Amino acid sequence: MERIGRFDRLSALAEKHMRRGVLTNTLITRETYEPYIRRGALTALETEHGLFLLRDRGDRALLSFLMEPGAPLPALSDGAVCEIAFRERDTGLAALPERFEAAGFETVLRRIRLARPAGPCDPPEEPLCSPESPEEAGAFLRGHFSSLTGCLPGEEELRDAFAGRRLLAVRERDTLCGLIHFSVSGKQTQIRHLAVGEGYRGRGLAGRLIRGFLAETDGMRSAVWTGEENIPAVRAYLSAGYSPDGARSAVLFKGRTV
Amino acid sequence: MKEKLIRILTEVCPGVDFAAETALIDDGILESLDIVAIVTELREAFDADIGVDDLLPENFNSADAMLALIERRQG
Repeated sequence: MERIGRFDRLSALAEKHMRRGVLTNTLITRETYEPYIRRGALTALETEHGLFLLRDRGDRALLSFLMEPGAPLPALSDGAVCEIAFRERDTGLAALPERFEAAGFETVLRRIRLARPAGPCDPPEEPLCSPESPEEAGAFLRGHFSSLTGCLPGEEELRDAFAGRRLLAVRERDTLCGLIHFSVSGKQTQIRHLAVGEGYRGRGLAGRLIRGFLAETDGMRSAVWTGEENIPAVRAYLSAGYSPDGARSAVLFKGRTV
Repeated sequence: MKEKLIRILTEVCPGVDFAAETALIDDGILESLDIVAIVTELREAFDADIGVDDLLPENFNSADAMLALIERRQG
């Protein structure tokens, strides 16, 4: 294992493995990887047949890879979590979760992606507000999403989202009871997190958050990943004009006992 | 060269009109994993030293943008 101290070292390693037919679950960009490099939290394991990257998130490490089809998986320490996303035509990637399971990983979550084409949406009767602070939003998200599968944003990302008004909330009597977190890239958006407090469910708050988000983003083309068994979430998205687009993913973890 | 490029792109991502589309990334027609697959093909087909720092959305928004990238990176 090599601790990566500079982005150009990561680039050089990645470029060696960017070969025809490579299977990967990551796009190597400065935006994604430099925060980890700065903190000394990125390590790389290079084999003859692939490159495996671990981003240290404290209690677990995010595993990314560029590997040849059929390449053996290296031995990895417990605590690695990996998400493999694929569409129908990505047959090589679709076959990987089973191989990871054979190497000691456990599938802990399966997600589907729903997409909504660009188009107007009736805004909620009451506009959404912002959370009081990025810290309040972070605490709310940590209370509703698993640290293992929830892709929880770090402090820097939360501050950035708060400043860019990409965290929208519903409050009742000063209590944060619902939150939506999203990203914008070009002419499309992605809902990153949507959560409604336990005592506030069944009242249409999820739909209100989605409509408020769509209004805030002028109905831009949008996508969201959600657990395939999260029926309430899937229903809320379907009601707002989203539909499954065929992309699926498996989140795998090494080290968790069944 | 553009014809060769479009042929390669169509093999990687069938069903996309690469000759006409000018907002492949902006409109979500191509995704990040498509970029990796495209880059690996272009590196081999055109002997172009396309690197990680070239993996920017603006370089893949259209066939013309990709062609310009190839020409900048050819040995």
